[in-house]
Amino acid sequence: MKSLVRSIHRKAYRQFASEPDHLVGPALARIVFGIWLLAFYLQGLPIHGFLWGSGGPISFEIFNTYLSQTGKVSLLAISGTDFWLFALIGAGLVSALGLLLGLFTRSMLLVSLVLLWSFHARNPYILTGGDNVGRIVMLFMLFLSTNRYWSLDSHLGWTEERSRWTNIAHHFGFLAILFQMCALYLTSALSKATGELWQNGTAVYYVLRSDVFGHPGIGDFLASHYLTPTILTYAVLGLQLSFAFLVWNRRIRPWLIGALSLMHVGIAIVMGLWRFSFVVIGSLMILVPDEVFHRTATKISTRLNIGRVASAWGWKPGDGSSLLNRDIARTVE
Amino acid sequence: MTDPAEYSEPRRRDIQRRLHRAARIGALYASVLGLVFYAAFLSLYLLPENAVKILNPGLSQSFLSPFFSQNWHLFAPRPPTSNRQLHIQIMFKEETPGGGDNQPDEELSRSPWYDVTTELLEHRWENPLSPAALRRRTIMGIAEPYLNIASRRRSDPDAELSGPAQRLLTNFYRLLRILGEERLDAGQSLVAVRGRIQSEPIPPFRRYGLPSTSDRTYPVTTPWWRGGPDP
Repeated sequence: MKSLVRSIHRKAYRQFASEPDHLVGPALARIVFGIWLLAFYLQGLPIHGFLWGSGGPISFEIFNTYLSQTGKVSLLAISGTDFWLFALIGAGLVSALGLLLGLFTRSMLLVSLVLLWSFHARNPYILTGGDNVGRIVMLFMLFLSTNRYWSLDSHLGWTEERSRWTNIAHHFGFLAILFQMCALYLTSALSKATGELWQNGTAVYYVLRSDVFGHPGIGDFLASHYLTPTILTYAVLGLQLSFAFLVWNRRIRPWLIGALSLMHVGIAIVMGLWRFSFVVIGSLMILVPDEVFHRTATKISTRLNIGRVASAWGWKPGDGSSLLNRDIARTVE
Repeated sequence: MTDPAEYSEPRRRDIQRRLHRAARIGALYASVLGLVFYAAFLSLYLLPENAVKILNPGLSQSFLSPFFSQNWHLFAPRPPTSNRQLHIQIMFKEETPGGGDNQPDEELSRSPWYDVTTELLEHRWENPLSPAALRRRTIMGIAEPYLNIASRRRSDPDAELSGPAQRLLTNFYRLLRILGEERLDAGQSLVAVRGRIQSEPIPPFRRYGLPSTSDRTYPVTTPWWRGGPDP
């Protein structure tokens, strides 16, 4: 018994303290979240007064009452003036840009999270499932190393030193995000499975015919034949239900995430829920092992002859520290 | 004779190494424990009603709210089966010299019903990045729950409204006032505004032999709200 416990302990420690093999995905997620946040602030900027100002439907007094009743906090509660609102929107834009470029990454992530939380609390009516998942995943991303690839931090040599501490934190954040995504899809699937319209295969038909969620052209086309919405209804249900169980298998995981990403791309195009889809795809990228990205990059560069074209232009393989550089180098050798 | 200080340096390093290792193991087990607790409370929070949730309603809420609060129903258990729009009608007066504040209603002008949401929806489909999408979400996010409050008031007019319901009602009438004021021309001032939530059912799937699930078409019209302080 003692030796079993000791062996489990050693295995767990080695696993948690080892160099993580999910670094590319978090970097991609960082870029996706940076774009998502930029779009959030820029989209709201022309009507900022209506959405978040004291002249909008949610007065400053009601907002403060809401905060005291729900226990939420918001920087926008400090002042109801336009100047303060503009200052926070500006800070949001700067932090989102920093996140996108990977500059002072962890600090920018923290600032972005605090500001996002503040704006979400100011107007909860505009929030979608994407905002909900984005907020939670960003919290766990604070533990991840998201600036190892495609970041100014790595270019300038400002990434934190790799140590067992950063590895343990990274693995913790990764597992928390993995569990959160499982909970998301499993809960959604189980809720759907209890609904009559999901059980009889007509749910997607009603979604496609809805003014709000059905694209005027594509939605009507897909809903026009009885088979398409039925297949889509059961496919969505099956995919979401299987995620929580199959995602734990490393071999199946990339295919499952690929299928889900396609589903979310479809949701973005057909239902107009691009914010939700963007964030969820970014969050799913975190779960893809690095070797999948490296294999894919090698295949693409081989197919497109990127290595030969690049070296014909005088490019020399780099030190292999960044994705694609190393994979292009392999195709040139 | 050997200096005792010469032995203490490697010994000190050894102690430091052991402490660091112990701290890392502590961090590892704290992470694992944290994950287990998060998973347990999250499962409790998201699962349907069960004995633990009924007997200890605040247990998972206290841990997860507000930072980890979440809802993944996402068109479940029932997707939308009707399309809703918000219409507003305003009562206004022309600002004429010598006109009193207490003009009778017969002398005031009423606008036709304006549909404030369909146009926003069209903008949104044309351009997904348009602010119209956020504007529409705010408007319907405030207007739709009003239907529940309205039906509760119809069934029990004397019932006291909860804090969130009262807050929603305030937001709703404030929204109507803002939308009404946007419709005024120069030289006009708002006297009163009312809203109407129109609901049109989506054509049912019944032609394929499945039962209809359409909602009744009903407009829900609010009483006139006269401008001034928030209700």
